[in-house]
Amino acid sequence: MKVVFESHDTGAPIPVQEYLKNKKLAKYFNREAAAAVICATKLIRESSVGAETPFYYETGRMEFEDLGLDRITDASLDEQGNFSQRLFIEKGTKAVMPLTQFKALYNMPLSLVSIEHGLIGDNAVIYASARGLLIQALHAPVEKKILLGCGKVHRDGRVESAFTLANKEEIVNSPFLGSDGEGIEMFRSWYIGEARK
Amino acid sequence: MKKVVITGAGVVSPIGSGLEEFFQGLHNSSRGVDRITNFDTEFFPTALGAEVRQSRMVFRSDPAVDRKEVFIRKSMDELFRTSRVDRYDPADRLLHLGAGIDYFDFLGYVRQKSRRDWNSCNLRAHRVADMLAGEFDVRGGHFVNVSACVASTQAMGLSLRLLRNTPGKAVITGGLDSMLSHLHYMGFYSLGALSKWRGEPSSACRPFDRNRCGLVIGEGAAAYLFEREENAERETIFCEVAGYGSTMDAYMVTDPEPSGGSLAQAALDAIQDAGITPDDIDTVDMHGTGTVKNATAEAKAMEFLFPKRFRDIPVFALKGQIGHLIGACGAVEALGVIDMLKHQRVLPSVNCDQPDPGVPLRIVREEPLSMKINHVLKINAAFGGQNTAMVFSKYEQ
Repeated sequence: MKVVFESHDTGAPIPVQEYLKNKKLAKYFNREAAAAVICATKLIRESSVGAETPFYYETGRMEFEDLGLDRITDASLDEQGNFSQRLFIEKGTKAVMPLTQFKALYNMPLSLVSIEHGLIGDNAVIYASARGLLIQALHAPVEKKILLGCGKVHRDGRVESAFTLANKEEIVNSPFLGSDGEGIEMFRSWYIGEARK
Repeated sequence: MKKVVITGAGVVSPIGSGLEEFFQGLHNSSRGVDRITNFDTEFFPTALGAEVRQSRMVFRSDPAVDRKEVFIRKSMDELFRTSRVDRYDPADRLLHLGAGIDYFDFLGYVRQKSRRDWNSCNLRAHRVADMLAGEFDVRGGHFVNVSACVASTQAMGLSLRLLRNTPGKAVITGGLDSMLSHLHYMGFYSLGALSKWRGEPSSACRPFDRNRCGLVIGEGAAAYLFEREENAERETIFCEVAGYGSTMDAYMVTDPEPSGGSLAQAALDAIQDAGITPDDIDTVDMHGTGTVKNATAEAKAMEFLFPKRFRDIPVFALKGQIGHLIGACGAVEALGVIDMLKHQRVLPSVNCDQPDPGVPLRIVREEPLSMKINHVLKINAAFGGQNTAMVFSKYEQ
């Protein structure tokens, strides 16, 4: 079970443009989505992934926000530092690009990976639960390889992403089926396990 | 294949809270869309929304309260009070919900004078599920789907699959959402997604009408009890959950794939999963957001699915009454499907005053259409291109 695992330090650029066929997608990326596309692309380049391959993604609990919340806030404060609803509408909401709303959606990493690689099959986005991701995969409507991915934005701004292709036999006995851990912990254990082989 | 049935429900919605009030609002074609009153919208360029009501009064809460958490708790409370979920050992109960973007207390964040802590102003949906699992004694596992507008139908779809494969379990499923708050509301406005309707607020969401002009954000929650037929008490069965399918457009982030092919494929997968054919579908509960592009894509999907009868098969959309509940939309709309199966009639879609000739569908309007209904197809689609379809069937032993 090949696992691609990537980590991007706080503030470090995530070079997703180098991996994109569809350059127009770049405007939709937050850091988690950018990391996910790089990771998925590295895996898919080395593997056979059909368009109808089921694809399930776990988005970890986001602990760091970089969508411009402080720009909105600062533009919404009056001279005394108090919130002004008028300034919020006139300046605050214009302090970020309209597309930021899309960047805030949790299904964007799955959506952008799917668009980039033409994945049209069964899919789901599970929130902060390795167990949920595994259960989704174990009940997939097909008995073939499934694309599994996850992403995590840590409190210090570091972004981790991991992808693998797995069949049900490879995950049915995972200890994470009985835990409340996040997906990135499970992928890290898989990655370390693979590296030791 | 083992049959899965719905044997309990609870709801909080803009047309009423509690099943009795909801169905009354549904039958009366009540409109839940109005000017937002629960939070201050002074200076907002538009302020229409479908706020949750109980006894016709808008549910009021402090800005620091995550409304969707309150809504799902009330829905689950009704479900646990009125269903026989207590027959299951807590270890055999699972909770799988669909939710939208996490609640963020923007005003609370702004008022933090010293160092602002983003994390302290967030309530994450998976944490909500943690709390609910504890409160309602659900020990078999709990998780949350966050696939935007198909989050709740994906949760319900997985619940169906899980029960087919796993004997002795019950799943509490459904969805919750509220984006009626400063940041989320203005985020949708900035995208140009919100209805530009200048007439009566209650007419602002107009699925399939030729003058449709955007979506209206709603809020609410619905919770269901899914069981295997063999474990269910016959007299408690609402309907059968017969099939589920999910696809991805892989087209654009912002727009549905215009041929409707991927949405149609999700429907075909759900129909096949139910062991029937498109000819067996009696009526379709549409996604029907009230946007121009959604309606044309759905019409194309219908043409693909029903090449000979897409102009004749009666269809229905609920968003004219309750707005777009985003992460909870499919779950709450499924109550309309249950109602159609129970009463053997297709409900009228409100605000479709002048059907669009470019959307050649048979939208039931003004009066309910009585007819024999065995199988209802329910379709939904999400920002980003995810599609879901479910087949609900009249329960027969």
